[in-house]
Amino acid sequence: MARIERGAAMPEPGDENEKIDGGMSYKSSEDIDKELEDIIAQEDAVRLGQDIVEETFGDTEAEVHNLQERAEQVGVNEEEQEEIDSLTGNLSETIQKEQRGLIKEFVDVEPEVLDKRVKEAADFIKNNEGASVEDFNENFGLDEETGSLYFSLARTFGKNREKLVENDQEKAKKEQLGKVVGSLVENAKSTETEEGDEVEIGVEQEPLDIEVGNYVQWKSQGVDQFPKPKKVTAISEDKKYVFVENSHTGLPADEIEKVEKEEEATNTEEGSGNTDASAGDTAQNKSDYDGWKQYVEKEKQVINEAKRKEQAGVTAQVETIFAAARGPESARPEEIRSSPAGIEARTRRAQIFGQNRERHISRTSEQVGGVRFERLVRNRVHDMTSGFNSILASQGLRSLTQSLFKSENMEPAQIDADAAARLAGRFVRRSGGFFGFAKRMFGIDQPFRRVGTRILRAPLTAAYAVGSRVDDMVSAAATYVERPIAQFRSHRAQVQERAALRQLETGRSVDVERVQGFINKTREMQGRLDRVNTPVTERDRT
Amino acid sequence: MKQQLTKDIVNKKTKAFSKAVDKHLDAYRKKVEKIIRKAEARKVAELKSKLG
Repeated sequence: MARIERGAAMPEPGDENEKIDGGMSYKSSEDIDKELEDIIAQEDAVRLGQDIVEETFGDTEAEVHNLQERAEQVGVNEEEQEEIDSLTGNLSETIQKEQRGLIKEFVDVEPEVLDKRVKEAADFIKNNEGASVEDFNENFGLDEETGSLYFSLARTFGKNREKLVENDQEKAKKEQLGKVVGSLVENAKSTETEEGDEVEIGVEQEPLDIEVGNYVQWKSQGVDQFPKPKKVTAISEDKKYVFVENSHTGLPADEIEKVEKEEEATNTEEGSGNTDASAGDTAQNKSDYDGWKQYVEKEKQVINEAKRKEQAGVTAQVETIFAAARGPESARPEEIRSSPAGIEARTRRAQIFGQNRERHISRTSEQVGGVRFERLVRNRVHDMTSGFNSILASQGLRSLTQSLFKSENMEPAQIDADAAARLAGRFVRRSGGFFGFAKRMFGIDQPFRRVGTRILRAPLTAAYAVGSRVDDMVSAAATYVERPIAQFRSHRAQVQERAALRQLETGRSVDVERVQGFINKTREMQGRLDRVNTPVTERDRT
Repeated sequence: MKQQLTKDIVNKKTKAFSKAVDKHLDAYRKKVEKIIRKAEARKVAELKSKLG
């Protein structure tokens, strides 16, 4: 047990890692690194906290300021202003309480004490410009860790406290000024707003000069909607809608026109409505009929004109839509883009694409963008490579390679199917997706979606067909090559076996083990050849 | 007093603080906006009565 000398510092719990060597204490470089990392991490953490707190205060101040400005613009009365002020005061207090709560999360002291200390620290920082943490610690006799924590807290909260104080001072100044100039400013403001409001209200409510019993015509988009003027039966309370005879539908007041010749209107109506009463007066009837005919003709002309105009409008719109669809938006001239027709066209296009959004997205991102195409190619290449690999792994090709290279261990190398598929995908992507591929392969500048698909489908279909035949072709080829080799092998094996047997019979010096090995090998070969002779398609290809 | 200040802890606690402040601010905003709306309505009513 180590002897502790009088007056020597007590070893602290954290000093276990420190070694005493000739009166010099040192820490390993790892320990120092770790400590440094801890310090940096803590500083980072404090900075992060400061940032978040400052952001919160900034946002809150801006919001409160905005609301107060709005209240001022609207022109709240004194009572309401007092209410807002008290609300603001409450908010400020609540936020301060939250502040203390937050600090309490990090520092284990009573909130009031902490508040006081932070205030002192903030004062110290304010009074000693450029004061460092060390100065701060020395002044308050704090250890390093506690000091740095207070220092950062004071920097964060102290600053905002200053702001609050400044706000209070400004408020007091404003109040003083307000008392002097307040009445003048208020007067000026109130007259301004009143005038402005008057104009607005004048625009909103147009006096309606139609009364119940008047004869009116409903003009919608410049076209008379009634063949004859109709009698007003009621007007809505807000004077926005007018009700006419034989109808329960309210008509918009701003589309209703009062017909001045009430008498004429009345006569016409009576003439056509009460035929029995004026049946005897044929001249009157005839003139009524002629008038009616003329009226109908006129009406027809008006309707036709309106139809023609509408048709022209629709044609123009369609033209604009096509024009807009022809080229990219940015390439269109500025006049078309900003013209009402252009805006209309854009809106219409947005509606169309909005309606078929799903389809549009799938077309652009998958078909047109070539994603689906790329996937198709990748899958196909993967399948083909896997198929080819299974052929490479077949017994026939393996034995072929073995006999060609004269080695039992030699096997044909497998192709990495995933890599091949990736490569194919990259090729398609580099070709510029569907359109780029079409352009490069077939020289089509702007393939239409369907035509493009069909054109590309042809070689793809061919590739499918070829791909599905590749297995059979290769296996057929393998079988074709395998047969003579197998025959040769079987012949060689027979010869060798016979030679061995003859050696045995003649009783010459024969290595029995070697002969036995020969026989075993021959049998093995025979079995292999049996397998080779069965068709590839029946074999289990894995 | 001694507490390891990690970024996670600070982030968590200050975010909670900021959230709480936002909540108070929301309540404040609602109340003040109510007052503002009331004042607006009063002003419009005054002007209407002036117009007759």
